[in-house]
Parts: sequence; C-alpha cells; structure tokens
Amino acid sequence: MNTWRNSLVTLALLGSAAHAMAADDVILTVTRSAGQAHHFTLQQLAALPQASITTATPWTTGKHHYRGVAISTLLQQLQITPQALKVHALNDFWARIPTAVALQYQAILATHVDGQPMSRRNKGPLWIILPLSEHPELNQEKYHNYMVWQARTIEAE
Amino acid sequence: MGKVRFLFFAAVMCTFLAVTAWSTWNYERTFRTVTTNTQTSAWALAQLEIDAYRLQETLKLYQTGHADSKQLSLSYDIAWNRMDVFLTGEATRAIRQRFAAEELVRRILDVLQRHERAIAAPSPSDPTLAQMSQELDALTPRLRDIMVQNFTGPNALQETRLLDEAKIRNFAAIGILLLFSLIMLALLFSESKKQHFLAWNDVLTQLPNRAAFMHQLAQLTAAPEAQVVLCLVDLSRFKEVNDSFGHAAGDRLLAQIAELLQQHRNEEVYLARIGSDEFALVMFGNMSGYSWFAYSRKIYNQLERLLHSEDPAHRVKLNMGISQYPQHASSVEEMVLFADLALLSAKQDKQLHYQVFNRFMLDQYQRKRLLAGHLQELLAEPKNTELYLCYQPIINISQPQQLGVELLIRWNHPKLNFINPPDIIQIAEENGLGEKLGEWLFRRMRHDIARFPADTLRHIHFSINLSSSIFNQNLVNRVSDWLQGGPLPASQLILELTENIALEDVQLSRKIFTQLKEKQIRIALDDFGTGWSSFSYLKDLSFDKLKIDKSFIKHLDRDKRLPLFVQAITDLSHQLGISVVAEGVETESELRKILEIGANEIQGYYYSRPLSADAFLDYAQHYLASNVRETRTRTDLA
Repeated sequence: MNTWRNSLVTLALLGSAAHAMAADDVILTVTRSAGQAHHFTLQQLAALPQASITTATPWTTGKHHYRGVAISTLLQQLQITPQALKVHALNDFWARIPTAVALQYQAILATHVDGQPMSRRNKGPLWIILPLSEHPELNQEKYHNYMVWQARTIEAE
Repeated sequence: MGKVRFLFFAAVMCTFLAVTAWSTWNYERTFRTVTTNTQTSAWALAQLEIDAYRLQETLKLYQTGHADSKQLSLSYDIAWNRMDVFLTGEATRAIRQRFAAEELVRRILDVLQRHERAIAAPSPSDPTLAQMSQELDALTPRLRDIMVQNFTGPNALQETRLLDEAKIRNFAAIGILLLFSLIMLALLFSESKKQHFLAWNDVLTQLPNRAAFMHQLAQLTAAPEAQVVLCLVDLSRFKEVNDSFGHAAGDRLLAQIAELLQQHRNEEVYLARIGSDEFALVMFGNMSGYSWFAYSRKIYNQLERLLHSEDPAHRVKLNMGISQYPQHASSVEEMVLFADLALLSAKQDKQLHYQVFNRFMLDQYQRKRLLAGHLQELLAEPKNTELYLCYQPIINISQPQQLGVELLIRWNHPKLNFINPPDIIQIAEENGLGEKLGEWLFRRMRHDIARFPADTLRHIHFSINLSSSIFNQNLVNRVSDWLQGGPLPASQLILELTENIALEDVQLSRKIFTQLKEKQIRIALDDFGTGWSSFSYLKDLSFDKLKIDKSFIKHLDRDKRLPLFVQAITDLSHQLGISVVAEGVETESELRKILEIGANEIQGYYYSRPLSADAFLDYAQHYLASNVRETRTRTDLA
C-alpha cells in the first residue's frame, strides 16, 4: 500500500520535473562564523532524528502536520551554540531568529506537510515552523516573521 | 454623609480608571487594526509584485539565453508559491477582498499553471513561453494599480478616518475625566472650606470660636502701636434657661444675642463666641481710643433689653468685663485674664454688672491665689497657730445642764492679718479644698477638746459649719470617719447648713438627712432670714434646729415689725418640732424680747464672744458647774 503510494508520488514528481527535488540535491547550507559551511541534502536531513508540529498558520487553511528536523537537533548535530540564526530564503527574504526562541519552542525545519515533502510551490523545501496553535502567545507579527518559508541558508551567528 | 461622600469619591476614581482603560484599549485596538492591515497588505502586495516581475524578467532573460532553466524554474516556483500564499492565508484575507485583488491574482496564477509544462521542459524559442510572457505583461501592471489604490483610495482614507474617530473618542474621554476632576476638585474645595470654617467658628452663631479669637488677639496686638480693648460678655444663670425651657430655647437666645452683636458691629470690632454663654467683643483701631466706652455701654443696654424681652423672669443676668491693651495688660494672655477678672467682679457685684479692670481686682485675685496656696499648706497641719478654731457658747434656756457651742474658723495671716471666715470658705471651695477644710475642722476640734474632762465634754453639743462641696452622698461616711476614735459621740454633733447648700437637689438632701439621723447627727438650718428663707426648706427637709440670723435679732427690742417675723418663724418651727436658736443676741433687752417670743437657745455677745479652746473650757466648766448646782438646789428645794 505504502509502496504503491510512494511510487505514485515519485511518478508525479517525475511528471512535473520543475519542482522535483532530487534527494541528493543540497537543500540546506549552514554557515558558521569561521566561514565553514555544512551542506545538507533532503536525504541527510531525513536521516536525522525527526520532530513534528501540528499547527495552523496565518498563511494556510486549517491545521496541518509538519515534520522535519528540530533546530535543536541540527545545532546539536553541528555542535554549535550560536546566539541567533539568520535564515535566508530562496526569495531573498531573511529573518534573524534568536536561538533561545527556537530552542524554547522547539522550532523545526519542516520538510514534510501532512506526510508529503514540501515543494517550492508550497513553501518548501524547508519551512521554519513554530507551534503557534500550542502557544497562542507566539501568534503575533514578531514570531510570524521568524517562520521563513523556502529557507535555504542558515547563518549561525 | 461621610460615607456617601466617600462612596462618591470611590465611584469617581473607578470612573477615572474605567475611562482611562477604555480609551487606551479603544485606541490601541484601532491603531493595531489599522497598522496591521496596512502593513500586511502593503507587504503582501509588494512581494507579490516583485515575485511576478522577477518571473517575467527571468522569462525574458531565458528567452534571450541570459538565464538557465534552473533559474527560470526557481522564479516560477517562487511566484507560484507567493500567489498561493496570497490566495490562501488569513493574513492576506483583508487585501484579497479589496479591489478585486483575489480575482486578478487567481488569473495570474492561472497563467502560471497553464504553462507548467513549458516551464518543466523549457526551450528559449518555445512560443508557449512567449505567449506566457505576453499574458503576464498584460496582467502584472494591474498589481501596481491595486497597490496604488490600496495606498491612496477611499480605503486608505477610511483607515485615517478610523484613527481620527479613535482620537475624537479619546478627546471625549479626556473631557469626561477633566469634568469629573473639576467636580471632585470643587467638592474637595468646598469640603475643606467647610472644615476650615468649622475649625475656627462656632456652628450655632456662626461667630469665630475661642481658638480664632486668641489668634485674632495675637494678630491685633502684634503691631508696635496697637491698642486693643477686650470686652467679655457673660450670661450668669444662663443654665436655668436651658434647664427650664430646653436647650433649643437656650440656643435660640444665644443666636439672638449673636445676631444683635453682629448688627451693631463695625469694621473695628471683632466678635467671637468663646464659651457656652460667653462672647467677646474686641475693639481696635479708633474704637480702642475713645469710643469703646460708649459703644460697649450701648451694646450692654441693647443686650439688656433683649434679655428682658426674651427672659421675662429675669433670671439670666448680663455681665461685662473689660480690659485694655497696653494700658492694663502687656500680653494677650494677661488681657484675657484681666477681662475675666473684671467679669468676675461684675458677676459678684450686685449693682454694677459692667466692670472695667482695675489694679484692685488683680490684687484681689493675686491675694486669693496666694491665700489658696497658704491654705493648702495650713490644712495639712492641724496644730498650727495661724489657722485655728474659736468656740462661741450657745445657751440652752430650758436645759441649763447642757451647753451648745459653735466652732468658728479663724485665720491670723502673718502679713494680711485676719482673713474673713466666709473668704476662707470661698477660697477653699474655689480651689477644691472644701473637703480638706472639713477634715481639718474635725481634726482640729479633736485636738482642741482632747484635754476636756469627760465629765464636762458629755454636756457640750458642738455645731460645725459645712461647706457646700462636702454636702454629698459621702457626707455620713466621712463624718463618721472623722469622729472615729472619739472623744465626741455623734449624738453631740450638729451640722450647720445654709439654705443654698441643701436645696440644690432635694431628693439627695433628704437621703443625706435620713442617713445623718440614723447616726444621731443633728442638722441646723443656718442664717435663716438672709437668703430666700423659703418655707419649702422647712416643708421638704426635717431640720432639728433653725438659727435665726442676727439681722433679725439686732434691735428686735426697738423695732415694731421684726418681732412679728421672728414670732411667726418661731411658732411655725415649734409646731414643726424644730428648736429655735437666736444668733447675735447682744443686749439684755434683746434677750428679754427673744425669750418672750420663745427661742430655745441663745448665741451672742450677751453671753460670750467666740473664745479660744482654753477659754471656752473655763467658760463651760463654770457654766455647767453653776447650773448643775442650781439645778440640784432647785431639785433639793422641790
């Protein structure tokens, strides 16, 4: 059943090659102050421990289930403890997220929505998700700005 | 009233808080709505426009070979995503619904979606891409129209209007707050004015009170050349108006007096009510120079007239005492004291109820204070020679084997010589020494009669004068204490009362009389004929003796009318079982006359003047010896 569905998805992805994201494409680069850069493919991210958040957002209808890598996990993986994370998006948007906020609310770098990988046409491949529904205090302009979609690069500061 | 006012202030404070909170919330809400709307809309529209233009640009670059398919795909995806977000989320709902923005964006997204295949496998010369580019070129400028409309159209103005409305509401709220503040300030102001008035004025007459009066005097005398005349107005026996007509009537009279004083005041007269029935007129400036006398006399006469009409029984007496600064007094306190002394003198003088202070009054006052100090010291010592007792024999006509005696106090002051006995009593009473004086009398008597042989003592009956302060419920206990340890038995004691003492409270007096009788102590009514001499004393209280005042005895033998009175009193007394004592019998013909009338006992110079204790002992021993002999002889003869 699962296999059948997956192959359907694969077919669909192949069919619309435009947003087909190959598993070995680099979708995330984390740069450190020293100038080092760490590159991650979707596969590599999927190999890390996964976390999920179910929440509504101002840009979607209804609640959705988001899955991906917690920012804490990523930082742990890289063994870095920056003050803030400057997240750049494909569309040249960026936001500076205090690490404390990301850790306190267990923000994730979502790769999947409702079990599906997120395409660029739907805020993918990476979207910073905060648990807005669980923490109503986050439901304000300041935190909304942290929720960068189409994230591509993170500068650890 | 205080509670109501407190609640009102609390309500005002709550209103303050509520209005402030409401206006802050209201403004905050409007501001937030307006700014969030504006910001989100502006951002969403701007991003939408940028991404759409970028796609168009990349498309053109790709067609000319200046961009690769990856770049094209990225900008295509970004534009798609942007439009999807614009059409989906809550954040853009407001702007979506304006200016047909949703429809336009849907059409653009539609263009994108229709050309998905061409983007997925692109070729620069693909006519489909050119078609797409054309379609986008036709639609995207309309995004800019929406942006412009959003910033300048009626909706943008609506937002300004919302802010303006909120501003007006805030002004209204502030206005309400200001109004309440003003009301509260006005209330506080009137309240403090009222409190101030109450602190310095008398409620009944609206005149300044004693505190204000002292303050005013201090101010008036502060100037170097100041001259002030102080006139105190006092109503004696005013209490009787309150007692018999009620306090309302008393208050009405006081208010009338205040009104009269107010009517006659001028700008150089200060008025105050400084006691329950005491007013002050302070005259200064030109008034203090020459016209104060005429003015105060005029006020006196006017007040007198008022009292005559309001108190037809003429019980209330008007008194005025006047002192001058700096002629008499050198300070405010002295001025008040001197006016008080003048007032006291006015009260005591039967004729002149209007008195201006003079040195004699001060001398009297100082003398009394000096004497009061001395008296207190002397009363602590029963054996002193300065204060002592004299004994005046009272001859009992029908019982010659008995001898009466009245104890009379004497004070031989080393500087002031003999002090008048009524003065001694008065000083003691005025200085709260009445009881001490009573105790001293008994102790001194005990000391004096200690050496009297028992055989003599048992025939002598001692009369002691009581001052008013001792005549109370404790009298019996106290006298019993003083007699304790002898040598005088209670049955040989007679207490002499003047009528003013006994009739203040007839009920109480009756009770005291009964208690005294239980102890076999007798009571004499002293000085009968000098005061009211009302029959009610004799009716209400059972005296054992009645002492007819010497003024009725003097010239009794020569006057036509006096014997009539004395006869009548004596007869009435006898019928009531009261024994009659004649005081002040000096001549033999007076004696004859009074014996004819039927008096039982005789006191006076005819028999003996007041004697020292030793002399009295001699007198008593001789008197008793001769009478016993005589009695025996009579008995023998019989």
